[in-house]
Amino acid sequence: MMDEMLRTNSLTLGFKDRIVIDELDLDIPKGKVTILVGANGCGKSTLLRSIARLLKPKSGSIELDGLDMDQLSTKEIAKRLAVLPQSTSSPEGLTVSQLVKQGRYPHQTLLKQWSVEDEKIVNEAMTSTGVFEMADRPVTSLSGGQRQRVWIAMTLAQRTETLLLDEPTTFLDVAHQIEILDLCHMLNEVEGKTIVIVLHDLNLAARYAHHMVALKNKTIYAQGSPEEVVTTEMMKQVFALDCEVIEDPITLTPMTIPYSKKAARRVKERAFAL
Amino acid sequence: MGERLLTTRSKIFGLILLILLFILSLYMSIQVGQQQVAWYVMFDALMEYDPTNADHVILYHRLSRAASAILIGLSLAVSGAMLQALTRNPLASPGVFGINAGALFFVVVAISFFSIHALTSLFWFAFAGALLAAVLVYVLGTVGDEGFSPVRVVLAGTAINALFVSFTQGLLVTNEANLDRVLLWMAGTVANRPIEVLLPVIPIVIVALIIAVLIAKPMDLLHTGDEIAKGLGQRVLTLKMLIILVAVMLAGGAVAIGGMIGFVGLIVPHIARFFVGHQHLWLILYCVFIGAILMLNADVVGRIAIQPREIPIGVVTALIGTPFFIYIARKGFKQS
Repeated sequence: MMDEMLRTNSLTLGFKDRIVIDELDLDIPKGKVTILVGANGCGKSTLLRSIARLLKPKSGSIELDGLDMDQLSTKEIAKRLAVLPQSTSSPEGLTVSQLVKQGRYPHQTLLKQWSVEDEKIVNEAMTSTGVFEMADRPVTSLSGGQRQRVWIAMTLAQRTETLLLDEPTTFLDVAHQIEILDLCHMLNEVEGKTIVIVLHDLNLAARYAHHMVALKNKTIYAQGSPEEVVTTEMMKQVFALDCEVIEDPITLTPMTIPYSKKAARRVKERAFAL
Repeated sequence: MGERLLTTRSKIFGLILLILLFILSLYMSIQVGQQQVAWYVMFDALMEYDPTNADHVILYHRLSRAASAILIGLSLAVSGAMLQALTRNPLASPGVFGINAGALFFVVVAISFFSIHALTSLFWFAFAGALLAAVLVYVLGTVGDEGFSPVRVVLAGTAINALFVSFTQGLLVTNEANLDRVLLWMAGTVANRPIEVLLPVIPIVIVALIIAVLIAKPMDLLHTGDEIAKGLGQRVLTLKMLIILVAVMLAGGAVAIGGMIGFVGLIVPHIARFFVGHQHLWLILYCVFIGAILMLNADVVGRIAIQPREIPIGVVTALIGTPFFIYIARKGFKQS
């Protein structure tokens, strides 16, 4: 079997005259959690959005399951690949279950409407994300973390093999960040989903990724396991930040400790004290 | 927040009540007026219309009024619901979108420059004006890097609306002879609209309603956001074009019949949403009947309030609509 279900071929992305991603060849391994990292404005969200066909490439192509995505209808893509964009506004007047139900849209046609099967899939999606108890509550009444789980439930109801998430933890407190990423981890482990996430927090990225991709200068700077990617050199080059990289005491994945002006002073003070 | 009628059964029950209320309003509209006509005459007239019988003629006039009111009411209501869904803006309506003003301007141009007075011809001018205004507003609200933005659409709508109203007033000031003919269009009326005038509008309204029902489900999806809808495999642009098309067909038809009747397209979708929430299939069905009921009753009120004169129906809807508009605007600001 193929190991890549998603692949970009010399993909160039941009807005008007500005090129954001230049001739990128990226393979996303099947059944793994891939996390894209990089500095602000490096094009990682743009890349994710174009893989999700929310943004038209300037040139190049994207392959999904060995097929050119241009050849697939948008509904066909929606059966294979789900995306949760970064900015979601909770629609007014919708309950949790009404929103999650929308995830079945690509599987419905004018003649084939709501079925028992659809109902079952929606209930499963709500159960695995822990929002089943809130099924009848309005989405607008939920907290940020709960809302994010509802959106993820909606993408699960789509029953796709691949799930793309654009900064799913932004605006969430640390406990909810862990909760959302644990959920992604579970979906990968239990359901074997291929998951691609754009994430800002490098330590969390290193914890949850099988495969990490660091972007810089419109292309890939480094990719591989978190241990291969997260290095002091990478931090210097990609983020222009001096760091120590140590082992996360809990997960044994790499963990970055950035130097800062304040830290430099503390280190000196300590040196004097000794 | 959410809808009051949660289950499908209660929604069907509500719809049946609305239909009964609609029939009652229709009956009132034909019965109530300055001239009393015994109720059994109605059946006589229906069975065998006698153009020499004064009572029959009165009934015929009232029936065509009622038909105009129904067509205008349901068209504006559904049109407003479509535009509110399109822009995700609770204050959107054919009026705010400039559709009414565009249609009116074209009608005034037709009367002033081409001396066209037949209502059936004016209908097509009204329709073209409605389309032009809608396209202008949509383009102005969409062009730019960030794409379609509800706020910019409403701003564009306000500007286009003001533009067409000014053009219209300019034409009328320079050419006062036509003022009389146009004045009723501006106030909005359902009086003296023979049924033949309505005939070309009916198929357009029916086609628009069929499209509206067919795109009801995709519109539910659009409500979750453009990108979500795209991610779920919806062709968002096509859908938006269809929504605009339906809104223009309906509002254009309504303005062509009755002129500038404000607020119906704004408030009826809110009343409908109060009952059935954001499920657009139900929303459209409820808008059809609530819009028709509102207009039938507004017409009756306008007819009997200051006898022997009549208040134009557009004035009645404005009297009901203004406080409602302020209420929605304040509610909307509180939420955001």
